[in-house]
Amino acid sequence: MNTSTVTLKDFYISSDHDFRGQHGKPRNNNAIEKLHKIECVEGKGIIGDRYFKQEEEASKRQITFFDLAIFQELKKNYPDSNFDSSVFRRNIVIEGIDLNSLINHFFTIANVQFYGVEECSPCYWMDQAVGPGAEDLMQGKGGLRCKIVTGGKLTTGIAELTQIDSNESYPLKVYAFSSSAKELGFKETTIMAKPNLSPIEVLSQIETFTVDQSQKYRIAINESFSSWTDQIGHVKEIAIIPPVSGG
Amino acid sequence: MNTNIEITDKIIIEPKLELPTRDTGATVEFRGIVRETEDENCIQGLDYEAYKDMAIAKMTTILSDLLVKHDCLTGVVIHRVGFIPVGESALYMRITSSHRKEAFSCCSEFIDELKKDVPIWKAN
Repeated sequence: MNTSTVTLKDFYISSDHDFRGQHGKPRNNNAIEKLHKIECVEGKGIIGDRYFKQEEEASKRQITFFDLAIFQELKKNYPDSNFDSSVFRRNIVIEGIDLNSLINHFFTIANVQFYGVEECSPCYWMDQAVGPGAEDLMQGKGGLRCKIVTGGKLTTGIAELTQIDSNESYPLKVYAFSSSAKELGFKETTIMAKPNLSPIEVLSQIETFTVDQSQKYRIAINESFSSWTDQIGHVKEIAIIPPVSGG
Repeated sequence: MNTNIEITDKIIIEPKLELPTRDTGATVEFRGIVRETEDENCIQGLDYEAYKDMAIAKMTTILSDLLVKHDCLTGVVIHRVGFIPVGESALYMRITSSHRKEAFSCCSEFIDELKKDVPIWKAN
């Protein structure tokens, strides 16, 4: 585990898209809201934000980060342009970490766990939002797209950012119900997991588990439906969910 | 809170009706009752189990969204687990709204969603 102190400067959400899907058309000018507190929901996004998803298959755009240092660099390069850190439409403006170093890594900020998916590359709209040439200046520094592995609330201010070792084993609770419990032969057990393994890979160490079960059952990670094939991260529990029949 | 969600292993006690506002014009109640025939077999009752915390979280999200969608005021859902004899309720729900149509729609759609996504199972 590698810990750094960072500052969460500003949070932004917007209920709908502004640039996305507007190629060849004017931007939508959907208002962006500045917040001091946000609630991150695992596998979905930030409550109230346009990328908040209800689908099971986790989007890679659940939350985005932007480095305050890049904003400051752009302000120096465009002294006559009147813009603030909201124009990039990234969700969290952060200071104190190289965001590209978090790509393909799990990390936590104040108990909220993220997985760094990829750079949030700048697009040509940045030339309009900041000034001509801004897209080029931002190449390789456009921010970070993340998945939310474990949800929770974040508040602006100083926080600890901890990078998780993807290869480090940890104990994981596994629950099975109804027909999955009958097939697996347990309702609850604990196995060793690694953050960089998928649920299929983690469960493969159980003798009674077969890949076929991933076709007929759903998987829940920390009580949210999730993907059988994405890396699980450092989580509390997983559950194998047969077709439900309540009511 | 507009929602009151509970999972219990005891017989369901229906909460006293409290009208949320003076503009309340409808309450719709639904009871899911264990019937004597299941898959053409005569049964004594059904055993229900739940992934409790996830089921409560899912029902809360579904109900909160549906109350907004159908312009309803409040919702109560109580799901019983464990062995439930024939003739007793496995599920009780109550929706309040200003008008009946919205409450009926909300109640009906909630049951549909519950049967798709809420981790509760029955076995005889």
